[in-house]
Amino acid sequence: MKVHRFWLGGVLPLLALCSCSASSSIPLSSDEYVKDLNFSSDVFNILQLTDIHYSFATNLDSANAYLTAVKDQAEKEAKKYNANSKIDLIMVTGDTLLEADKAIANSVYDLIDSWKIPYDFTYGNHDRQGNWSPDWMKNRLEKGDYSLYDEVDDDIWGHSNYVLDIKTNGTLAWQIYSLDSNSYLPGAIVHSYDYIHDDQVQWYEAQADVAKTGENYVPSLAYFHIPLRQWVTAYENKDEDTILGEAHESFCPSKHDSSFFDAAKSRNMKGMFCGHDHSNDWTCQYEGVVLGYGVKANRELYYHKSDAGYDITGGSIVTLHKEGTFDLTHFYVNTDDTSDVHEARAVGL
Amino acid sequence: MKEKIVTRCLEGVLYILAALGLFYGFLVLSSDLQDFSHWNYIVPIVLAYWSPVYLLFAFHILVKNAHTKRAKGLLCGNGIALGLLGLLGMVWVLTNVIRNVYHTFFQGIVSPLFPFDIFAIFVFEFIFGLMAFIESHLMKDSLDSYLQTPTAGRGWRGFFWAIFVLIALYHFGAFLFGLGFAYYTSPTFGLMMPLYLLMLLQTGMVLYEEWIKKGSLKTRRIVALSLLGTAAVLSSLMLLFNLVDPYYLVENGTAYYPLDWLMSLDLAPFLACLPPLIASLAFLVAKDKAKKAA
Repeated sequence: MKVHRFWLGGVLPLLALCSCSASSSIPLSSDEYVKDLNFSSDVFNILQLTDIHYSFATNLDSANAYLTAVKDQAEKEAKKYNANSKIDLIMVTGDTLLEADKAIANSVYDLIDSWKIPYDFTYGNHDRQGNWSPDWMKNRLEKGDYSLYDEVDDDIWGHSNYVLDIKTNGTLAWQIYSLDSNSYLPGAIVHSYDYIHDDQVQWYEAQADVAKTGENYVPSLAYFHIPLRQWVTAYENKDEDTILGEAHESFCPSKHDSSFFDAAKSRNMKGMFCGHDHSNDWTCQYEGVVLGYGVKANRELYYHKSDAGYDITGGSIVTLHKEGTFDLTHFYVNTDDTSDVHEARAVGL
Repeated sequence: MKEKIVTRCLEGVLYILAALGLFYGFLVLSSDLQDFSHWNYIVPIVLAYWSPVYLLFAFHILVKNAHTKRAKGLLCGNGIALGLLGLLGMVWVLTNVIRNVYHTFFQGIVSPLFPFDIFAIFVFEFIFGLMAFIESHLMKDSLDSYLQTPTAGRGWRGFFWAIFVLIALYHFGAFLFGLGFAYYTSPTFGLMMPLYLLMLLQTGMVLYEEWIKKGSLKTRRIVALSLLGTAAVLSSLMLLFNLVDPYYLVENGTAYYPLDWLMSLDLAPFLACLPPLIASLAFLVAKDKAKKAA
């Protein structure tokens, strides 16, 4: 909740009658935001699913079958490079829904839950558009047996700000940050997309500072939905910096520059991953940080074919190593024939 | 008097159904607005949910012309249109079920009874259209008398009024659905009050214009000024609240205006504020003209 906005609004008499909630103040460094996970083998695999976009128009049977095929392929990819490993975590990075009803929302959440893999969510700009209340959405995200989502009632912008501590033998090896990149920046006539606000950055800094051992920050990754402006800057130098993936549409970050990148760069953040622009899965190294799009995880709305002719739809896997490096795999599952799979991979990032 | 009460009850029920149908149909349509790639799936749903809007307008026009020579032609024409719409919808839904576009008759998404519910709507429309068509042929006046009767509509004023009624219906439907999806625990929920009241005011204005408007010129002018004042105050509050917290509509209002958030437009304040302001001004102008005529 946002205390300053509440009180600002509260000065108006109408609000005095109508405002109905109070907010709680929680320290930025509170461990309420943190959940622990453990390496189950030598590596820890994170599957990113993004822009699933179930809607009224979605054929649930075929969409669910496709999404399951993506998950199955992710498990194969994990085993391919380390026979003992599995998908340890699924990060769903926003726009899971767009204009749908609760039955459709339940369908996709129940499906992900049925995979029996811990998963977590970040909000996209479209997730609140549909025949449900934000309160219902929050409760639904928290409800799944394997869901790690637990929205903290705080004063910070956004809703899905949290940390996952990845430990090995009780020692913190990695931190995974989820940040709500919010939805729209209000404007006259035309909206821009929103950004990661300054108080979210302060929250991140507080969390990273608390977790560091001595002078060393714990290596970390961040997941959010809307790319930062640094994605655009990096793309202008793409010849030098590209790691993998392609870009087939204009990048759509906020017009407002977030301070998150600079804060994260100086705190040992190794990579940031977003969604939002369906036709892009381009990933690069920019000022020592990997900036990556995920791979759109379904056929709904629009997607693009790669230069080689396959659909840029599927998933991406980050494989964390205990010593602080990670590998990145983008895999593409053909929308018409899910046995037709392609892959791009980068190691030692 | 009894006929008037029955008519108004029917109109009231149709208004509520049309409001719910228009808003929900718009939600469904907006899920495919990007590329219309699922038009075969979506269009029957939208046609069915929007059909109460057509029924409302047709019924209203019929009632207004119930005792004129236009009644027979209106009944006949609307009967044919409704019957054909119902037939088209029935065939479309059945074809979609057979072709597995809709998997069963009770998919349970879009609505709990979908697509059976929209099939039932089309069946009702077909039967109702057929009955209207038959009834028109049992009426005394010939169709020729209808065709030879000059139109006595409201002209441009009628056209713009119809647009206003559609906006009012949309907002009333949004308000009713909003009772279910409003963000009650939002710290800025209170800032939504002017918007909610503007949504209701628009329906209040339709109610006044169609059902209540009577009395002396002075009384009508006072009512028109009151409506204008109310709309102006609520619009000003929306503007003020927007200055207090520009994010309050983003936070609380995304479900009410799907087009805004799909197209990254900021139409909501204009759609909520301008129509009642313009309509109440039109009420005032209309009174002035009436006064001059008097």
